[in-house]
Amino acid sequence: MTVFPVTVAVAVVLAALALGVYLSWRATRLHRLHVRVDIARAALEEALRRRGAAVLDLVAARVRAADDPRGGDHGQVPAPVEELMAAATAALATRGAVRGRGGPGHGALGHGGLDPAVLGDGGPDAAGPSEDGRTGPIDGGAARQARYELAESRLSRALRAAVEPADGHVGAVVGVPSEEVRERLAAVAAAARSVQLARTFYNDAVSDTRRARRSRPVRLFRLAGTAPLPDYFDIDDQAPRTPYSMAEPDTL
Amino acid sequence: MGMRVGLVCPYAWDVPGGVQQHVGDLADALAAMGHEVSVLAPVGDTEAALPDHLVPAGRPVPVPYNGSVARVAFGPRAAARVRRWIAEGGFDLLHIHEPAAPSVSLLACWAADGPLVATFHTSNPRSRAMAVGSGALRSAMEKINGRIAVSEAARRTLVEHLGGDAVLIPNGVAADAFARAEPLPGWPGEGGSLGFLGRVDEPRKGLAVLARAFVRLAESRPGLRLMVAGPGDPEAALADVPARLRSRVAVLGRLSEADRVRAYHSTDVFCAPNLGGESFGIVLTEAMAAGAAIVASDIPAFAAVLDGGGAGDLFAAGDSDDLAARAGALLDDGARRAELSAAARLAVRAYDWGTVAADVARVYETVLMWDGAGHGHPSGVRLDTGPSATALLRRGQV
Repeated sequence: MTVFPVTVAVAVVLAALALGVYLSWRATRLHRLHVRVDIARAALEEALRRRGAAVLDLVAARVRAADDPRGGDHGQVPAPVEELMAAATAALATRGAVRGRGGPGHGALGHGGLDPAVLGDGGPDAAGPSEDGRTGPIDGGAARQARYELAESRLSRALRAAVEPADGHVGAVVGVPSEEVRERLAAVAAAARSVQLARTFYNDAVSDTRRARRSRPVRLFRLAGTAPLPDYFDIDDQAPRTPYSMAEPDTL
Repeated sequence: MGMRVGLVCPYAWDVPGGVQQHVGDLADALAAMGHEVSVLAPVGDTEAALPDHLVPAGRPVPVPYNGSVARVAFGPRAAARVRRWIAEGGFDLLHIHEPAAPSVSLLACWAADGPLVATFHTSNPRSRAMAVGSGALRSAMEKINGRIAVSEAARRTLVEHLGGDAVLIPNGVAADAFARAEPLPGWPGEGGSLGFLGRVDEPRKGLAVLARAFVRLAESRPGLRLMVAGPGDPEAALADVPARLRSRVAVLGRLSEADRVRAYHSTDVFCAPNLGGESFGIVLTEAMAAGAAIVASDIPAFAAVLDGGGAGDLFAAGDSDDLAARAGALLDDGARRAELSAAARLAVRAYDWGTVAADVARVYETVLMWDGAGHGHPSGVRLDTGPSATALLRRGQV
């Protein structure tokens, strides 16, 4: 008669133990996904910052080359180059504004873990987390997030318009005989490719995390805790086709 | 700045195959760029000459996988070797090839914690291994920080089975190594010749399609010959070739590396009659690098590599009549062959290992950009310690 309750008690303890192990496994997986999203987000923002900076370098070189007597355009900077400069400046400023509101963060990378200064120039209001203590581009941040995405998309378009040939003419950035422009353009092309990579990896991490967050045990036992649901980063990130990558000397 | 990279190859190193070759070439290209590389792979023949950076992961066993026989290593002993390799390697990052393959690749996904990059090679919409495992595999796959697909088809396959996304970085080809070579003795000959290279006993490589096309052409072209190079028993594929034409089919078997390069230079028209499942076609890009005039089946991966037909003629996959018609037209038109040859050499440059490995290294840099920064972990790859109870306590606090 006394065997029965003991058996039940043992079974209950074992089941609780098994559940505990299972839940901590799920929590560990989810934690790892959140870390992955955070790292990927930081990498994406850094890649975007580097692209913006590389574009400004390119524009500066192009403006110098415009004064080149050997074939510059007599100090006149073509319109696509001006738009390129405006787009890059706007993208960097918008990024600063987003970061200033507490960063990309769903966590430590945004503040606390890393000095915002390490992450790049934080913009005018990079002083700290937002007043309401929320961290992500959730809440009011959604609008800022949208502005950020639009600004980066505009930069991608401006870059293509200024670099790629159209109507039988070479791109406005390229139409000067300057080795410096050529080098900086290669750097911009590499930075634009890094943006594509970083964005794919970030959205991939977001997709995995959102799927994990939908699963039953995660919702039932609130394994996500207070972590905000990460959002996709949707921009036009198509890189420009540079004339140099299209026509290299035939070495074969 | 050099990185310390661990590459994981799931298939037996001493058996030729697309993934093995990819990993080997990538390792060489990365080393040439100044990175430190270690490759973990199953090795069957312990006597085989192995490159210095190769670490054997145990003896492989043959298992049917994705329509062919894969030689993989799985089990406690392989797992122990994987763990030791990770623990002792001190890697900045692991790059795991075909991570869903039930071999050291999957074991490495499970065993590792830290920056992981994975390359997906398979393009098979009905990949049973991936479909069956998609739930069980998820815990391994979701650790991967950066996914690479070698073709649009491979990318689609992985998106369908696992969700998420991947960046596209094609297979590389060591174009310079194939650019110039003497034809094999006696080739291409006066009467015209067709060439095939690949496993001859694997139906999806399509040798049977080419054999039927050859029979059709050979009736009206008394001098035409067919060169078949590659491992395996070709009898089944050549069953449709009547005895009187057999003497005009040269079966060369497996070729040495040097002879393989020469084989691409040995025929008038090179045929790639694959029926599908080929995510990329390393043979195709090698033939392009050699400047062969190519007729290939119009499966999406081949059409993409051949610029939609600009760098090689495409025929309806599986249709030996169509193949015969196009190969025949090319045999008769030397000018067109020269044109395709030049176009192929140009188009293949996008797939040169120099270009490709630089893009792969950029993936590494992107993944490593914030590794270890600010989330309380050490940087680099370490052993996974498994589920942790503290994860339950600090829910949501990254």
